[in-house]
Amino acid sequence: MNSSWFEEAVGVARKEWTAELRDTSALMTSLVLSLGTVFTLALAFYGRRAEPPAAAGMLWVALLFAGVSSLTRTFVAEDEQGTGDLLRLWSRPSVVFWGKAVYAFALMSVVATVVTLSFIMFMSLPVAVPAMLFFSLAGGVAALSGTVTLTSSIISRGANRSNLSGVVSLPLLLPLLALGVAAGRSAIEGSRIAEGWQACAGTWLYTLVVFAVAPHLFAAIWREP
Amino acid sequence: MNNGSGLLHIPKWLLMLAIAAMTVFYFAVPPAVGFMEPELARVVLFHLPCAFGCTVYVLLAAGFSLAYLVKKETIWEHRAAAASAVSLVLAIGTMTTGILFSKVQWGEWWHWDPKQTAFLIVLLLLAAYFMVRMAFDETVAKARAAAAYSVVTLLPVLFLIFVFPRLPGVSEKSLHPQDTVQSGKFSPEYKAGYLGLFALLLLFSTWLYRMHVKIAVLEEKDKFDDGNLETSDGSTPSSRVVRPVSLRE
Repeated sequence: MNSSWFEEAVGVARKEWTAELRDTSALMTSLVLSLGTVFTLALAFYGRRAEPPAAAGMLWVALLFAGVSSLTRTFVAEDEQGTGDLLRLWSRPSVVFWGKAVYAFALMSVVATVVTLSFIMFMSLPVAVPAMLFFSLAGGVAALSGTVTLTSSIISRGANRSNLSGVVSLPLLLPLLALGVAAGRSAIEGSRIAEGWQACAGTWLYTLVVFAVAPHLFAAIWREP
Repeated sequence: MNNGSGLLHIPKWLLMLAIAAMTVFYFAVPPAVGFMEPELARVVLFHLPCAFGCTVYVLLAAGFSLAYLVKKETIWEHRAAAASAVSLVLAIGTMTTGILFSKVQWGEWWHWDPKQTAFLIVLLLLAAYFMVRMAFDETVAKARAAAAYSVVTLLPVLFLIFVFPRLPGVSEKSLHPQDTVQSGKFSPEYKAGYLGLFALLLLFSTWLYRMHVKIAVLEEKDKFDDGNLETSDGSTPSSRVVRPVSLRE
């Protein structure tokens, strides 16, 4: 096996994406859950326009629940299908982590695009600084993907994993949620622009730290004793 | 096991006497001027040491967890679990006293104050650590998962305790004073009170922590001994052995 680190990571990401396209369970779960949330919120706000802080909060909550509910299956599925051991033999831990995280980012990018556009359309929400909203969502989705990929690997062998995934992931993501909501609020209402860009930079800083630490922690728990 | 000497208990008695003396001092401190309920401002003397102690043990737990992931020695896992348990107790103490203080001095049980909210998330992270531990039966898998989770929580915990409440735009909204401790704005009695209680709380929590580690080590030894069907003198152990019996008469 002479493939480079990059080729192996792309291989893992491609394997995940191919498997996803075969049954589309994670994509459909995320989309149905998050779009259902958006439609419910739009109905609740029927005839009224949501305040920017509330709108930014609701958008992030929809994305967060979609991510946590679908991405935690990433490693659980490997163990259930019995392919985890093959992956352990075939790949280095850092390759597996990055491959899975890239797949998670691709999946959540699709979900975030569909959900954000639907949210803006159904809530009749004018966005004053679209670039800020885009960059904060991109940073937030990247951090979300890295964090949930790691927590998914931590709990993949545990009992009661579906309930545990939310309990374990959400407290870790709450600081990110605070940053994302602050940036989203500034982007929607077009005020406190400097603070908004600071929060946007904060989401990317969170991403940077998550991806600096997570592969090393993943390597420590992925290999069998 | 009899250790043969009552002298070993002297430090524990001294600690208890110091706690009793501090409790008397607690009520001797004059009421704080400038609060809605000056008498009840003394809650700060317990609230601050709990928060400081919780931060110390959270950092220790993350350090011990990292040591476990690097060295793979079970003692580090026991230390991390014990430090996390102590930090959870101190976090509950911080939240309880904080909520009481909020009600009597600021008028509401919960204000969504940035520091209150940040500490609530820290409490959730500590609780989630124990949820991770409870989800595993197998010892090594449990230790690895819990250690990884403890290390990964360090980033949000540091952010929530040290960065978030001091962010521009956030700090102005907080009802918590920003630099009372750092700039020495406490009266001498209050300063002596919270520093004394902090020192005692550290001693008391260290005692709890050591007991927790000892119990974990003994439980592990007990589990290991149960696996052996023969004792050191060659006989079979008298307890916890399932013996096959014939169902036919």
